[in-house]
Amino acid sequence: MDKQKTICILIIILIIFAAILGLFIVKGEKVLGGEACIYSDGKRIRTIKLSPDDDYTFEVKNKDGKVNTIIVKNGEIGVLSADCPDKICVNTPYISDGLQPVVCVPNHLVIQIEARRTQDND
Amino acid sequence: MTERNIRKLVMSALFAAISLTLFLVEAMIPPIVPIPGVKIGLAYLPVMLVMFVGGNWKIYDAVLILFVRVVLSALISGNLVSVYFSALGGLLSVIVMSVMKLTVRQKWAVIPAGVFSATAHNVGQLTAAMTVYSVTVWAYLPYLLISAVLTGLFSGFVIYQLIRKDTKIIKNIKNI
Repeated sequence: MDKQKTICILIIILIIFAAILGLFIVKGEKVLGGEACIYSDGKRIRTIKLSPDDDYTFEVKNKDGKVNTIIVKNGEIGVLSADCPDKICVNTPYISDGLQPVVCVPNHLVIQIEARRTQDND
Repeated sequence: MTERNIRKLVMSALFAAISLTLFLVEAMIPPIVPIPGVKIGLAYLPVMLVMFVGGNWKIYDAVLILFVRVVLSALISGNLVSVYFSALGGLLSVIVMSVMKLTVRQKWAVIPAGVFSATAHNVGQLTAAMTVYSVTVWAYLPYLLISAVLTGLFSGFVIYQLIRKDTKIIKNIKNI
């Protein structure tokens, strides 16, 4: 076993270690204080600051009169109930980061968490 | 152009075509894990082979083959954003690969080089994704790192098995 081999193996172990450490950080930390943007019919109608002690619901009506009830709880946002036929938005897990939006296609509703960087550009 | 140059040119084109084919084959495989960006990295096999086979093949040739593959895959898939991702990832990984080749002048270098270049590719991809989407894409990094180590070891071992013994085919490729 020469020196270069040892260094290479050490770096590989370091990468694995960093990945495991990163997994814990990503799993453990919820990105709090993010801002949820609610789009209805393609227009942004509301921006909500998410914080861990929120607990409330409100309704969003689109221009056809269809209603989605949105819940904000524990720094997460999601759709509690909706009068759309497929209920995909209701079954989407509540979100707290920008990785995946909550979408209700029949009611033209999109909820997305946006990073601060994009807010500066507005 | 001498005959040798033409032979090398044809061989390079062949390697680029193999790389492109592997890229398309890989696109047909349904994703094993539901994380975007996790791939086996089959398209890198010809690039790694050229990079580490030695003989008349220089780093420059591997870079050129990778470049041709990225541009052609853009034209075939018609997805400009994915090209931006793979161009940045490819650039970083080819840099890491050549550093490995230049510092460790032995055949086994291809195995760690596979791991490091896969890691570099993912970092480059995420950097590109960050400018298109948002900073939150870095949350994927741990998952991508784990897949990079596994797939990098896989492709490293494949190329190592190919170039380990000077078989007739490898000799022919080397002395083109």
